[in-house]
Amino acid sequence: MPASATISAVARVERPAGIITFPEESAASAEAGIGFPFWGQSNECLADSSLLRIIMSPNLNNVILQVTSADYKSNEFYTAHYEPTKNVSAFVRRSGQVAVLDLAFLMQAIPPGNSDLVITVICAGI
Amino acid sequence: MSGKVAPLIFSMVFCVLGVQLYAQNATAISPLRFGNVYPSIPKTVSKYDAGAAAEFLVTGVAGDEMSIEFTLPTYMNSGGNNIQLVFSETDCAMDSSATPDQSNPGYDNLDPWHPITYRLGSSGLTIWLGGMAIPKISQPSGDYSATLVLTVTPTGN
Repeated sequence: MPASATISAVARVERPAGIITFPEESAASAEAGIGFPFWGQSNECLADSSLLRIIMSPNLNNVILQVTSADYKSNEFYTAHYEPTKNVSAFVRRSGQVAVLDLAFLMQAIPPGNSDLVITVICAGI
Repeated sequence: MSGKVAPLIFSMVFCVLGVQLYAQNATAISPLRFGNVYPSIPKTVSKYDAGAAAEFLVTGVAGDEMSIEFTLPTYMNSGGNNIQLVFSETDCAMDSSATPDQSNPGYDNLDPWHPITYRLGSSGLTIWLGGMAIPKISQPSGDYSATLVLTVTPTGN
């Protein structure tokens, strides 16, 4: 006679506390301290950028992440490809007159004890 | 008929008829735990990851050959939402040694999508299973779960 056992696969989905909105009229950099594990949040950046540059510091040797969105269309998501940190993803979405950036950081490379991280987001319009 | 005689006769009947008794048992030891996952970031649990990989224990008569088969889900659910689950052709491993070693299992890189045949050891057979969860960018927050079933059948060999 067969014997069987049942087991579960379980996961908890965490989402950022909010989304980032970018006013059309400004280009700025911003910093935000966040915890670990974390979702990064920042603010004000240029909405119509086709190049978004993200600089993270400290303790990461100023890793520079670049997110390029070459074909920016309304209501579409763009997956970021970046180096050298692969466990980071960013998606840019445009909805109406507001560009929304969801930043998902899962930095497994962060040394233990570095619970705070400053993220600087700089948008450069092209 | 005394209580001792009845089981003896029962066993003798099976011997005369040539029927071999199997007493295998399958036990769920540990769930497949993905922990916290984040929208758009796939998360993989390795079969070697103690405490995170799913773990089963099959017990029975040492040397008995078993056919081991999984019934795998393709999604974890939370209400009306789901997360895609992927199990690769190498996500399963087993060890029938007296001291099963999850980090270096005796029978590795097994395909959980097809029946696997293996013999029980003196301590039974420990089975591990990894997998990958693929949340969407718009994945709602919450606790997701799915059910995995392991079925063990004696082959008679």
